[in-house]
Amino acid sequence: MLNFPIKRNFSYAASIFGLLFVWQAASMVYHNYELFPSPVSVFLQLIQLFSYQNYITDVIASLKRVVAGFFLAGIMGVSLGIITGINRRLSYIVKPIIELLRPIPPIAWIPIAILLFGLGDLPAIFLVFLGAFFPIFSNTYLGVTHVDGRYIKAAYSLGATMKEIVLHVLIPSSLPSIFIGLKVGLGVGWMAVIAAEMVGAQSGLGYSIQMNRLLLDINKVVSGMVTIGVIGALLNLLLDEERRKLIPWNHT
Amino acid sequence: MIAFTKVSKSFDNGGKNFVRALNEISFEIERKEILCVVGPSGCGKSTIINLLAGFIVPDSGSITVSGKEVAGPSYLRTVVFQDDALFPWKTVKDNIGFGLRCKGLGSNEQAKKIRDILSITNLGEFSDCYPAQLSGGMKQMCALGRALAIEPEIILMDEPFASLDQQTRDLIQEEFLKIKDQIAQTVLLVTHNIDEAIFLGDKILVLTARPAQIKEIITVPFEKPRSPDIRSSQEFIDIKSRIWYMLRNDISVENLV
Repeated sequence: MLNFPIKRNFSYAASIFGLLFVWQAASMVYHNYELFPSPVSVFLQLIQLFSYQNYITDVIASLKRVVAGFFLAGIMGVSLGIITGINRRLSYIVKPIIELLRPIPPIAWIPIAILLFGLGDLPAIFLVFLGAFFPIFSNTYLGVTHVDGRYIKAAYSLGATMKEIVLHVLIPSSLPSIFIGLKVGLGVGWMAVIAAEMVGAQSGLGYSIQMNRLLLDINKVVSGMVTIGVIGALLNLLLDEERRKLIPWNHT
Repeated sequence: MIAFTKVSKSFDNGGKNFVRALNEISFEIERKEILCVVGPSGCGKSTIINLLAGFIVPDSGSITVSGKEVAGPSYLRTVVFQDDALFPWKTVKDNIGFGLRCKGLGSNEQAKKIRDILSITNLGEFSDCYPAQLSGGMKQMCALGRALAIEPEIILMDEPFASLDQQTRDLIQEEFLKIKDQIAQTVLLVTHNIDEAIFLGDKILVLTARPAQIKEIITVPFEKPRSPDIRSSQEFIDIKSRIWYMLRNDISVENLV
């Protein structure tokens, strides 16, 4: 038991080094560093980029938009998911609307987002919201509607009212499912912010990638991609940590 | 006193499966008594629990507790389920306290009651554990404690020890009787295990196959407190074979397959 996390961390590290090794080998075989930069050159580029104030500003701009859109989506997705999960009649009204809007990818909303909100933070936040809201809503709804009936029966026969059942049975038993929604939502939101910034912003990692693409600086483009990947993975870890704290009874 | 008077109940699963579960069942449960219900599998034993708990309503007949008709679930008729149904997201302490909180007890009273229950169920050192960290027997003790804490008029137990292995089951039955001696409590216990019914019950209600009717109500002659030794006494074995003989006629091989 005790050495398990060490073993796991070791294999995580080995797996990442393996990926870097294959990348390095592929770039050496391809042998055109202008088109296919090696991990070493990208790493050096990243160190250089992070010494520029501009790049850090871009990273922070993207993060701010993701956090804002994700929080909005989290609050609305979870509360609407719970309310529609409890109230069947409301679900008959809300579900068809959700099912129609959900398949539209956030990117397809970009023209409307820019028309509505202009350029800058707002369209990006709106897109993150759209990307994150649907998985959060759907998983919350699923969690609330799939609560084991025994728990509800048990609660009723212990004297619980509807309010106590919602607070002490429906919500806690849906938490694992809600967290799946939050994780997926954060992932989609992070993708959506990059897409939004490539088109409708003057800052952010997506904007930086787009600019460097126009300047044919592939090294910087790939550095941007690596930054996106690493930050996305870190955000995911952060959510896992929160999950462990909030759901101590269910370690998976 | 709890009284079933000519209670019938059928289930209609979308017109395909019309099942008559209970047919004009009448019986009474005296205060502080343990009434065990045995019968062939699928005969409607659990239906009796669900009716008395107020989860379902009878087609005809009446069910009264202290003269009042049963209407919907209430903590006065609380249920202990076969697979414990403890809230996995609450610790042992909070599971036991849940009904008390619903009752609106102050936190001091809650804490005191929880302490009492933890001590009679021997779960003191596990009070901060989650159900997933407990053994099957401890979970069932905790579920029993959760029910005892709210001081219901009757505890309805639906095959409460069925998922335990035989040794744990024997031990927990003895433990249950000890607790029962400390807290006078009316209990309706449904089981398919005849030994369990005789060891725990003051009376045993033997049901027929579906639609269930009452075959016989047996008064168990053993004094309480009961020692585990009675399990091997001749009298115990006699009652067991008598019940088994009654049930045998109703258990056909077709029903088993």
